[in-house]
Amino acid sequence: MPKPERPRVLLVDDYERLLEAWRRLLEPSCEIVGGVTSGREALSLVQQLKPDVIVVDLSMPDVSGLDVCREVRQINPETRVVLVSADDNEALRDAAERFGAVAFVTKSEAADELDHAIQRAFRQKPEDKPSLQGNG
Amino acid sequence: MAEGLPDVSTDRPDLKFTADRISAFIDTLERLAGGDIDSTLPISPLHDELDAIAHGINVVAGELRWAHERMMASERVNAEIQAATLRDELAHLSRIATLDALAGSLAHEINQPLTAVSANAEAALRLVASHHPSQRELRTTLSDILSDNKRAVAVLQRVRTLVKKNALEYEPVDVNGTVGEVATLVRMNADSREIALDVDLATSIEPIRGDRIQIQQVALNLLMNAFDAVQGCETTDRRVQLRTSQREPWAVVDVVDQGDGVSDDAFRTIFQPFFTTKPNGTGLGLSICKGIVTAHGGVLEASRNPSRGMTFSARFPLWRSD
Repeated sequence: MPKPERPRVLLVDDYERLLEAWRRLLEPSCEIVGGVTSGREALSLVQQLKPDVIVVDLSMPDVSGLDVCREVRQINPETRVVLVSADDNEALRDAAERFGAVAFVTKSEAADELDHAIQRAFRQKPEDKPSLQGNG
Repeated sequence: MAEGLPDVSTDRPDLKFTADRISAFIDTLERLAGGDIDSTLPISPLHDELDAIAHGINVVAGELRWAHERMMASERVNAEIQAATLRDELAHLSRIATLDALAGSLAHEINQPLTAVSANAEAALRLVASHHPSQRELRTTLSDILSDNKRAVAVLQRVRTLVKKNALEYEPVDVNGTVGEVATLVRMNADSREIALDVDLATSIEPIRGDRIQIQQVALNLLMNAFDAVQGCETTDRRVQLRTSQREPWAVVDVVDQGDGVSDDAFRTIFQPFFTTKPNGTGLGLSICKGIVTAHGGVLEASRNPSRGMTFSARFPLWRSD
């Protein structure tokens, strides 16, 4: 049985230890191509590494997670964005969708949910446009 | 001569002398009764019975003066105690207001390690469930959980300390550690506002004697003011510096901003209560800070930087146990 292809994932959060925790959790199912603590660094790495999926925190000190979503679409439309946030409301989910995120995961959710969101995003065709309203 | 006394014939000088002395007694007693407690009677060289009465009146007047001075001192002390209590109440309310403004960034700062704790706990569970769990990886993961837990607790403790309404405790205070904690507390707020906060603490600084929480409040208010001052600037100019130094006989805390500064009129009244340049400011922050620094025997000053912005310097007298 052929080994299933693993998504190449770039992790972005301003808290370095969370990046390390995500790496530990996701490594069995994903290839972690990098972890950075700033939105600007993330954008330059998207150009360079062209990851399949980028996991971005909404609240970043330099560039907002929403801006990263929008810029990634310009830089490399093939990269899917999974937005992660400590807050959760309809307005945020709506904004995430409008800015181009394919999934919205709250930080309070189990890490499994993040893994599932990455796998779904990876398998999603570019033309698929999921709704992020209330689907976790 | 006191009213109502009969005229004494000038051919009896002894009687006239006595009558004049009694008139002086009556005048003096009337002045004392009218509140002129500094009045005293002269003592004649005769040292007779009238002098004994004069001495008695002078003693009573002296008692009155002493009682009056005590009363005045007591009133002053009461007024000072009331003013200090009011200042502490205001300081406490102001701390809560400042923390309220910081609530968003504090929530983020607490949420970060908690999210990492949760993710690492899941990672640890998966490791344990795997066929050949790496002991080293497991140990590192658990150690990260502990570190993040400590970090979240530390943030909460810093907040709790500032919210608590404690009686003042004057003790030796390490200025660097005290204001350094405040810098940590507001760092997230500065980051989210794209403000570069440079913290330049003196390598060695002797302790001051004071209330740690109130000194933290001064640093907190000055830093939050400085953030507001640079908020409207271009991102590259949004710089605030917190520095400490020892300039005998003072320990000095400077907060330097690169903002637009204030007008001449505003500069003159900057420490007055209810003065504010902010749309939603109470105008009490700097006034409270000045009150706190003054109560510590220190000085809070504002100056304009040669290039741009302002520097607020809080000087506290160094504490010497000898």
